Amino acid sequence: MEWKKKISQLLTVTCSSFTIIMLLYALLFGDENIPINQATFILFAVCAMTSVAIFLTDFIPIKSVPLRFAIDFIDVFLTVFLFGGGVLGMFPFKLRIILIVFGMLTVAYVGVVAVMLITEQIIAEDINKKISEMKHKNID
Amino acid sequence: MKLFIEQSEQYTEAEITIKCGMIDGRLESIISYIRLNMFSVSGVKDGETRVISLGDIFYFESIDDKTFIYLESDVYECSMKLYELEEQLEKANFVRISKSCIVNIMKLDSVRPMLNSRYEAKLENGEKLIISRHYLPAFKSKFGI
Repeated sequence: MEWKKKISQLLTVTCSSFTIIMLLYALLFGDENIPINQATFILFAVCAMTSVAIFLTDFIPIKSVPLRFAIDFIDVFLTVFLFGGGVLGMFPFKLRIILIVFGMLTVAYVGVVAVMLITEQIIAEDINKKISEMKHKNID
Repeated sequence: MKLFIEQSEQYTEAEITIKCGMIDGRLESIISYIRLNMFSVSGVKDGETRVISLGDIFYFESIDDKTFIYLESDVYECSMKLYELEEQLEKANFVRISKSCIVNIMKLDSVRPMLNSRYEAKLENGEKLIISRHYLPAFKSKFGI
């Protein structure tokens, strides 16, 4: 059950980050003659790798929320710059490009956190509904 | 559903027997209610020991190797360890929500998500507890989610 949830979380993070990154990519680099097929697969690979990195560091027991966010953020930047920029040669290491990528990642990260919060809000609403049902049952 | 009550001087201890084909939701809530009210734990406060019904307990918390029982506005010390309580209360309306806390789900008011996959549980007396992500699946399954 716990594993199913983890895998589902991994897929949610990959898909939502991929969607946001693709939209930003199309918006910022849409007219720069980069083959879209190649870019799609590379971006997906980087998003998947980032999700796996977050998934793995998630096992480190950390109570502090800011520290957890900092680690997630480091996961994102290390994976994108080392794997995406270094191994896959996704972008050149020029200041302008690095700043653009930094901005894209920040927007994508905030977007993914928002998606996760919405999912958790739905779960909380389900639990609250059950609590209220339980209380009504007891009153009846 | 039929209810039989036999009252006689010959019985020294009350005994509840439920005869049924299968346990449905209604029966399950009756059984939970009986479980909640038939067990009790001893708590000590200011040197005095009191027997506390589970139905009055909001939550148990372990601090520095000591276990405390939290009622609506009172706190008692309990001689049992948190893991012992967890085992005994597994089938009652109690669930572990963190390394140091077991909560009575009947005393919950609401839950809300926090950042970092944790939830905050608000109790009927206004107190707030943290549900850690490790214990979240067990907490959700207590509600059939």
